[in-house]
Amino acid sequence: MKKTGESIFILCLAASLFSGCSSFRNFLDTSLIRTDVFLSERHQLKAREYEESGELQSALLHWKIARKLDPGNSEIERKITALKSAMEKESEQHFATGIAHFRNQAPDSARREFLAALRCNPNHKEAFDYLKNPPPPPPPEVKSDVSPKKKKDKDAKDKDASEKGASKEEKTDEVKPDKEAENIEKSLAQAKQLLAAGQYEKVLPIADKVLDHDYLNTEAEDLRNASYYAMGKKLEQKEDYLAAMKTFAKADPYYKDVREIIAGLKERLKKKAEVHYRQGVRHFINEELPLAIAEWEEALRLAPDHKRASQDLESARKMLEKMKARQQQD
Amino acid sequence: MSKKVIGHLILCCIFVLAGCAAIRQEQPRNPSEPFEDEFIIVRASQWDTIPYLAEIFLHDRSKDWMIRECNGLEQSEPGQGLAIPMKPFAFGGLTAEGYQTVPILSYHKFSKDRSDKLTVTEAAFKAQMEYLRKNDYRVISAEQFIAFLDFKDQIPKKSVVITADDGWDSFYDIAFPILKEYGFPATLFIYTDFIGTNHAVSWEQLEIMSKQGLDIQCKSKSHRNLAVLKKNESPKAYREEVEKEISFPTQLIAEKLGKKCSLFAYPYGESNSFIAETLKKYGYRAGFTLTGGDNPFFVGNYMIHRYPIYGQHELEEFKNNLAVFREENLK
Repeated sequence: MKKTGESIFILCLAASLFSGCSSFRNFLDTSLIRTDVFLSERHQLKAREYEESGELQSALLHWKIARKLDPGNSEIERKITALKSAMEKESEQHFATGIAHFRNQAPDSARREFLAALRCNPNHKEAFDYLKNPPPPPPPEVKSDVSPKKKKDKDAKDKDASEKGASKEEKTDEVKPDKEAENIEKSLAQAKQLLAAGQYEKVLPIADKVLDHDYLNTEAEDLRNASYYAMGKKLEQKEDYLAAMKTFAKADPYYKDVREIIAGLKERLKKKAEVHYRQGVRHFINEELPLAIAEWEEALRLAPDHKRASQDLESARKMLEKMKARQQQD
Repeated sequence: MSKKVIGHLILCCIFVLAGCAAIRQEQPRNPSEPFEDEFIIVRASQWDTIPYLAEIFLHDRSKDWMIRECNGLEQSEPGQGLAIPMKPFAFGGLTAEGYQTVPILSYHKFSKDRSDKLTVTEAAFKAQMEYLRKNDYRVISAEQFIAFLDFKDQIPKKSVVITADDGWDSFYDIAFPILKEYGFPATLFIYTDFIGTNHAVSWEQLEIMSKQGLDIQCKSKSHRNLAVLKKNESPKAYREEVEKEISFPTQLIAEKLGKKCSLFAYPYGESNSFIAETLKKYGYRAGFTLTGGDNPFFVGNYMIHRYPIYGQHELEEFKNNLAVFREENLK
């Protein structure tokens, strides 16, 4: 019993020490952070670098970090106050220059100055407003020969017009009439005639032009698909399956039975490729390497994913190279 | 139970408690507490990676870039003191040398092997996403981009936004799985008359994608060109049509997906001030065109540029759309 009691006491002590250690380490860590003068100096250095390069916001940020790390340092406090005041002053100067440019109708120079004002003081609301919602530029100053009475009347008229200026009627003035609609209609009618006459190649540029203007024009999309479909059919009839497949692939896969046709053509091409592949094997057995290579190349042209043709072609090419090298040596 | 066993049990309890105390003390951080400070300082342990610290303190692993940019380093080392920014510390991507711009990519259709102007093949899309990942581009959400425009938040230096238009079924079949694989957020702008028709995604598919993080936004009801007056259409009829094209899909998307749209892609990318005013009236915060170009923070919220990505584009041309900084002396 006495032994157990002792061991409990020792273990409790150890446990408390462990937990105490971790707390102590932690205390050490935070106290180190609080007075990390070395780290503070690093940030002060960065701040000075930024100040020199004119990056005043970044400089201020690093001065503030330095202050957080070394709170009692009055030099840092002084630096921050001085920098803030300099930034505000600079910001106001840029803003005033910006206003002058704006009044002189130099919008680019004005914009640059407003940006510079905001760079020095991101809270400069007027500079921000000038950039985001610039007021209309002031009219150029011209000498007027209008009599004071006439001028007064004119000003009253202008004021009245500007008060009514926000009416919806005026705001829709900038709506463009749909001039293109008529041209599109004409183009589509012409394309339909060409399709009916079997001049499919001529339909395509017209349909593409309409689609360039309105990519959701279903009529133009249909004309385009119908042309590719008809051209593909023609090639299929001529048994030019590869060209037919490439043409069908340009149409929307969901148009008519395009997907089924492409699948069928792929199957046919595979079979044709297989014939060429076997022919190549025969040439290879007969040690006619160039002929074998030509057959396998054709097989791959028709069915690019024919694995055996691809492997055998590579081997045959290497063999041919070696043979040529040996012949040259001899 | 013998006294010996009870003694051992007590010992075990003490060890466990001591261990717990140690674990708790290892992380003297309570990230749920609101931070008044602009940043806090932590000392990275040997297990603390920067994404882990971002998860703990910023509640978002993907905000690791904020810690990296604030400290000007790529990796943390054990024992290293790090500043964790608790608030945005840079707005608008402004520097003395110029300003940040955000490329926004716009896709339409996808296909396994067929490409045309608006159809990008699966292989090409994958290669483009891989290029973004390998070259340290950060794909951000449209929401983050709008916060950047409004000067409310900062975004990574190499930010890119991905959008797709219309709601073609190939987006669901081909693009969405690839986006998920890369963990890239994206926005799909749908025109509601198209949904559920041939070649289009269904509302069920949209719901699935929405639940998995896809941002679904609006691209009108019928996809008519809103900036063009139809033949024999009166200005009054035009205005009514524009209102309908904007308000109807907003309601329908809210009903079907339970979400409020706040971003709008103009059909054919064309707009005018009346359309922009109508968008504001219905609570839209931004309008997206199809005109390629820079998007600095000062671009108009209702004239946002997007680069259309065409099927015939080679990877080299794709790279040309990824400018993230414009040089200009702002000293």
